[in-house]
Amino acid sequence: MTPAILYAITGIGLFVLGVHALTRRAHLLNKIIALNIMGSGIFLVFGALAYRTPNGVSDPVPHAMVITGIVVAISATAVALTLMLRLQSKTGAAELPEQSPE
Amino acid sequence: MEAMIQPLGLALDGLLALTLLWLAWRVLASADLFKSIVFFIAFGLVMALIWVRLGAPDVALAEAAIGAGLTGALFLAALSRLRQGEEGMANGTHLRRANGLRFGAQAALIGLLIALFLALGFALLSLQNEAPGLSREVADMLPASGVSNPVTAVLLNFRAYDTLLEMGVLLLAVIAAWSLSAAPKEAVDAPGPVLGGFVRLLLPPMILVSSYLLWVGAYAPGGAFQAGAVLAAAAVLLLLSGRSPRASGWLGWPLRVILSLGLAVFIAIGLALTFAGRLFLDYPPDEAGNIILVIEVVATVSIGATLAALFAGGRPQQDKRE
Amino acid sequence: MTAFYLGLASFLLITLAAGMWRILRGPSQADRMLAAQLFGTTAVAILLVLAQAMEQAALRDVSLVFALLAAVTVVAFVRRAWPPMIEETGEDA
Repeated sequence: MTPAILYAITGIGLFVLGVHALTRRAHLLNKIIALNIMGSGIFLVFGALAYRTPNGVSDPVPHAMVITGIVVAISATAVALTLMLRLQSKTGAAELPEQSPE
Repeated sequence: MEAMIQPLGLALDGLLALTLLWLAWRVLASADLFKSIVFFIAFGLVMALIWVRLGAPDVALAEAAIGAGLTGALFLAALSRLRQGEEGMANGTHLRRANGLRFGAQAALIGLLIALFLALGFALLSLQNEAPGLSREVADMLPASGVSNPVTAVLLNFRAYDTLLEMGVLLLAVIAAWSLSAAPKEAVDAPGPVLGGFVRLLLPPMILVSSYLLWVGAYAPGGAFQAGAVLAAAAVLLLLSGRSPRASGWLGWPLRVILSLGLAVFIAIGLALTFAGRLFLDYPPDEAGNIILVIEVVATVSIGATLAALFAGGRPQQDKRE
Repeated sequence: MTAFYLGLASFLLITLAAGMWRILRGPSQADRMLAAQLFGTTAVAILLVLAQAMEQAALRDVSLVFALLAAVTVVAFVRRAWPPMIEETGEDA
């Protein structure tokens, strides 16, 4: 097993764990963290696949995309947290409502 | 001794991967939100170590700057606002649903996720073990890019569109956060002597490191995103210490100009190039180094201001008007 | 020498287990936060060792950023999370 495969499988594992928590946890803060973990898993797969070069110098294109992705992820997280706080101040709970009654 | 290097390296990689998965599981399974956040901070640290092992020091720097400094601060601040909101409610409308899924549905979900894992894993293993990707093309074009760090060359020259659009995304994020709510007035007391002195001691090195990362990005790991993240951490530290710039006129149009400057300068340079008879964002090789430097400087300031504004959590309220 | 450094980095990583146990057990929030900070300190050490093992000077920059920014999380904890939140003895681990 090469490090690239090892880390890529770890990335897939993170993604799947994140999906599980995203569907099962009710609190929105948990859901936002789960989304972040899913994102990290995807970045890890990117980075691992970039590491498969024969000469040991990684492919810089996925690295650049991951850097862009990290910054976008943190700003999206900040907006999501603001949305969550807004929802809490409107409805009193930082959780999504149960399926709409009608 | 030489023969030991590969198995030892693989052992380190295995340990890192296991630690990461364990931390992710703890982050997602902890019932206590605060504990989740602390585990998430640790998760970010291990992530940065893995980027180092994957030969991606540029990404490790970005992860270190954002994961170690900003993410933790962002989540902790959101959690404290959440708790304040709960206190305001009449004996707290805790929904705390048990998230009742029937056993069958649970089993189906787990089965689906295992199938997803296996399918993705199979797709992964069917890939070639060695693939140079675009590294050769980047290496060939590097002399014409104006910088010698391939990642910076990709970010600001070969795929400059990505970075241009990302600046747009950052600006949109601030607009979205500002239109959702006004920044909450935190009841922060003036910093004590320890915090005050600490901030005074730490801010200059942070700004220095930010400029260093910006400059070094041309030929070594670093660049606008990492420098911007460090700058944002410095601003967050300033906000946390209670020295808010609220009273000064900084929060009106100067802040808005700084927030949009990165995108504006980027577009202006692109348009200027089209008027000069080239393609949009197609730099002339002789001037590429200087153009990249100009874009990176304004992008750093804009990214720093954007992330700090997002940390503040809403549009700034000025004391004068209200 | 590289093998020695790699072994050292693995050892440092294992010592993190002690810190993880602290995060898991608590009992107070400050214990958890400080354990996370211990993570940060150990990560700086691992990065410096790896900089030598992998012969990448840039990793020292990463450890510099780590060391500098770890403080922001602590300040955020002390200023935002520490006083108003109720001390809970986390036994739900």
